[in-house]
Amino acid sequence: MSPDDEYTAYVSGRLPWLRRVAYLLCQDWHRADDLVQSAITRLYVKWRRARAADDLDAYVRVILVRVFLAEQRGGWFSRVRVTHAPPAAPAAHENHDLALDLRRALTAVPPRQRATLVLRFHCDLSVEQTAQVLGCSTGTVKSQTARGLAALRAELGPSYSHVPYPHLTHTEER
Amino acid sequence: MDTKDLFDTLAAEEQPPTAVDVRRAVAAGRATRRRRRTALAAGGLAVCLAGTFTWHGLEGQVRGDRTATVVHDAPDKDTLPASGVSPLSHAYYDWCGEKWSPGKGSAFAGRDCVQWRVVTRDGRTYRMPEAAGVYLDQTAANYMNTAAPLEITPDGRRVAYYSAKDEKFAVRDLASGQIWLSPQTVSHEEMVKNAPIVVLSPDGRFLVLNGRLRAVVDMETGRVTDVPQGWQPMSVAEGGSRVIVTNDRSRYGLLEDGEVRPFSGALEESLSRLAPDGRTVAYLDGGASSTDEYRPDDTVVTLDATTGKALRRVKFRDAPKGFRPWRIGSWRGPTEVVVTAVVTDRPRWERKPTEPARTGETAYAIDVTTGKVRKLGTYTFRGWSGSVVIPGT
Repeated sequence: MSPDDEYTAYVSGRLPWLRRVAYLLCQDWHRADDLVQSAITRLYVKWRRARAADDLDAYVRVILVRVFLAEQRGGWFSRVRVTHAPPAAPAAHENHDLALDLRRALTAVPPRQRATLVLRFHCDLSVEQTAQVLGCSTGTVKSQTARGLAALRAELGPSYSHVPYPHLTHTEER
Repeated sequence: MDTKDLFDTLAAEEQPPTAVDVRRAVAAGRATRRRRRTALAAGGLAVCLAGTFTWHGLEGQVRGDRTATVVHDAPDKDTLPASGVSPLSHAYYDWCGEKWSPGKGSAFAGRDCVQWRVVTRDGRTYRMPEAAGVYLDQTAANYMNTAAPLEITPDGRRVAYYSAKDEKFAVRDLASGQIWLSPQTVSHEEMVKNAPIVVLSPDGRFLVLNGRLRAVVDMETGRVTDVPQGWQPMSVAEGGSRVIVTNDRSRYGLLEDGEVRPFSGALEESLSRLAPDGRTVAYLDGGASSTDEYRPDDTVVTLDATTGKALRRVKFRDAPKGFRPWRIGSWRGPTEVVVTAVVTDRPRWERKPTEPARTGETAYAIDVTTGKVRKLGTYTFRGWSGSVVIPGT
């Protein structure tokens, strides 16, 4: 199998996962696709090094998060879809309202804090691993996590007061 | 529900069909690798030859590369400064002033003179290395697509272009030097194959992207508005809320508040940008003809874009002899629309065999209420082929 074949096989296989992480970072499937497209292009350029990495998924995740943060610094952040097509992402679970509220709440969390939350709570990374991905200290990860959760709580608070979030106040213990 | 459950709730959403294209990533990645190799080779040679280096030394390495857009980043006195540039008069590319044939672009590989050149109103000319210039890789199918698009706002203060390095469209404010990148990734191959164009709003804040992208981007906030399926955006008004769209059945329409209101009937003519009132558009017409005989345009017609209905038809007045406008663009005030006509030089047999033609366009303003035509300026270069971009057209 040539390196290009390996690359194509890997990216094709991991595309759903990459899109999901990108979606959690930006809450928009179209933009998530743009992020993934940029990330896998960079991955191709670095493929020789990437395929030799101990954890290829981790390598790609770093690229994706950095693409997201870099584009965020560039100033663009939202997309309006005005077609008559049905909403792009119907929730697969019963509580559709909850999903909408969560998405809106996450959008209100600053991008770097959001990236920290996604890495820690969706990707299950430790504080140290998250610091490595974001290229910052563990102290920064802790403070970003705390602030991100506070922002999330502030957004979700009144409308979901009946939903307990015990761990939101105990993030540093993870 | 803990924080992880919260994220899992979102992650569980069903994924819509993806627009991610792995083949495009491979092609774009290869292009990036090639550019890096070329840059490294150039750096190595420059050190070795120390002062005696010419681009001919590199030509052989790039010549066979049919996907490389020539971009040399080394700034010099001819390179567009990072900021403090006065408004532009026009831009052009001229294939280095040399003869060029379709499909023979690779002969120009490695030469800075195939980049876009911008000319300021005070007469300074700069190369623009960050903007992709001519394509070296036309094929028989797309040989007319010779250069990456470039657009200048009517006031000459902002310029939109395709950044080969970023594989994105970019808008640059010439005075401040600020550059905004569009979010969408577009490979060089796609640029060559599909020839996407860019159009700016009069203030340069909104960028229209047609083709696959089909969107209007607010470059300052990053807000992207997708145009409904079946329609392509053509131009956007100041403020970004109104977009002129067209479809493949020669219908135009106005996109506003998420709805396209089609104009009544098909229209084969090119439409102007939206006037400063945000609702008037114009086109040129050859008038009524009972036969199929070609009649040059002699009338300007205005439409109300919100209703699609014609407002008035006015015959040209005081037009120069042989006036043949071929492009209609932006507005110069509430009643004057800008059109351009191709400059015709002396025929080839009256020039020396080695003397290239004076090539370019003349811009005119037509008053849509009176039909009065007045000349704004002529923008030319000496060359065998190439193109001129005039602000707002």
